[in-house]
Parts: sequence; structure tokens; C-alpha cells
Amino acid sequence: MSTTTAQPPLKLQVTRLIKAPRERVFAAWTTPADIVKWFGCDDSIAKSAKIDLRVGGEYNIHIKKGGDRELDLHGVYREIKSPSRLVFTWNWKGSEGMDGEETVVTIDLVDRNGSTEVQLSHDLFTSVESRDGHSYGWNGCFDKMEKLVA
Amino acid sequence: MVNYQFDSLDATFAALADPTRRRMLESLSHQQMRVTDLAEPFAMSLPAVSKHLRVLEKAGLLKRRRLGREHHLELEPAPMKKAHLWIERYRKFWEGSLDSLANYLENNQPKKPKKRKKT
Repeated sequence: MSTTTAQPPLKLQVTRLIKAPRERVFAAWTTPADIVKWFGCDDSIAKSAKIDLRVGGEYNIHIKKGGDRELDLHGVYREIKSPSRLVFTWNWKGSEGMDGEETVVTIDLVDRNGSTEVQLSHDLFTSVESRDGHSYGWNGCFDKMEKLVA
Repeated sequence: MVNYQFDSLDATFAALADPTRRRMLESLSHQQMRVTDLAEPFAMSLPAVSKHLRVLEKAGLLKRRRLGREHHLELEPAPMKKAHLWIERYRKFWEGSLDSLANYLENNQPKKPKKRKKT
């Protein structure tokens, strides 16, 4: 990071072009059988997912880490516009340190000649002002990734 | 795992969550400034400015130098670097997951994300 940059990203944004129609990509985000096939990273694997796909409905993704640790990722759907937009809250349970913080993820799916541009935005700042006393602790994926990129 | 000072990270994010304070840091990224000069472009009272400065100072983003009766303000970028690293971890998580999603939908292979090299 440049030391002269006074304004860091306040929202994390990642985009990816996927060679599949939007309907298929939307289904991959909202179907338990799909989620367990792709969601997660190296030593943290989505083992099961429950989804109540309606505004105000909850999702829960059960994640098993390397070793015998398990944790849950859960939240509530705030906006559902198939096949173009999905907004949900994001909370950890059993994470040793990240429990208690709520962030918001927004997925926009844009058609690009039959392919889909996934525009993911993770607002990491929504929780910061409402939360105090909680400390962050990163583990699992992030530890592993850190080793990978070190 | 990198041992961050989490409390200071909280303070950094809280400090940066305000547009006025970000603009102040932006001004200070070019030069050291006196409090009165820094306050000038903002339509607010000096006490209100001071309040913002205290938040930035508490987060370690600001250093004060006393030159006689004047206070000169200077940007301290180290905490922002920590915040940036924190965000980067989430970025890597999502990039890995989206790689995995693309691989699954394009090749129909349930496969965990590839190891990404630092760019």
C-alpha cells in the first residue's frame, strides 16, 4: 500500500467473469447442492448448507476445517432478484474471534454475451461502528492463504 | 497467523468510517499542516475539528508536533497499512472462492480453489 494513500478501500470489491448464464450462476449461490461443491477454500470445506431463499429468510453453511474444527457461516437474505442480485448478511459462529461481527455481501450478476460477470461487494465496515470490544481473529482459510502467498 | 493488534484495528476502521476524517487524512497525505490550516476547508467549528482530530490521534493515524505555540499535524500511515492487510485477507478468500465457482460452473468439476500466487 502506498503510504500516501489516505483513503483505503471502504468496501471490498471482487469481480470475476464466468462462462455460464446468469441463471446458472444465481442457482450456484442459492442451491445447497451447488454451494457445497464450490464454496470455501483449501482446508475449510462447505459440508452442508441450508437455505431459506426469501427476503428475511436465513441461510446456514456448515464448514469443516482441517482437523476436527467446525464452524458455521450464517445470515439473512436482504434482497433477492433472480438472476441479477443477491444481498445477504454474513456472520460467523464458532470462529474463535470473528463471532459477533456482522458484515454485508452484495452479489450482482451482469450478463456479458451469455457469460456472467460476478460483481461481489463485501461491506466490511457496516459492523465496525456498531461493534465494540470484539476483537478480530482470523483463522482457517486466511491462515492457509497467508502461508500460500507468503 | 500474523498477530495484529486488534483493538487498534477497530480504532482505525472507526476513524476511517467518517468522510470528514478521510478528507483530513487526504490533506495531510501531501504535507504537514497546522490545525487552523487543516480546519479551513471544513464548514465546522474548531472544537468540532478538534474532536475529529482526537479520533484520528487515538487511532494512531495522526502525529502532533509542537512548535512553540503551534501544533503541526502529520499523517502516520502505519495503522492504515494494517487495515489494508486485514481487507486483503477477505479479498483472497473471495478470489479463491470465485475461482472455485468458475471452475465448477465451467468445467463442472467440484474442486477447491487453486492456490493463488501473490500478484
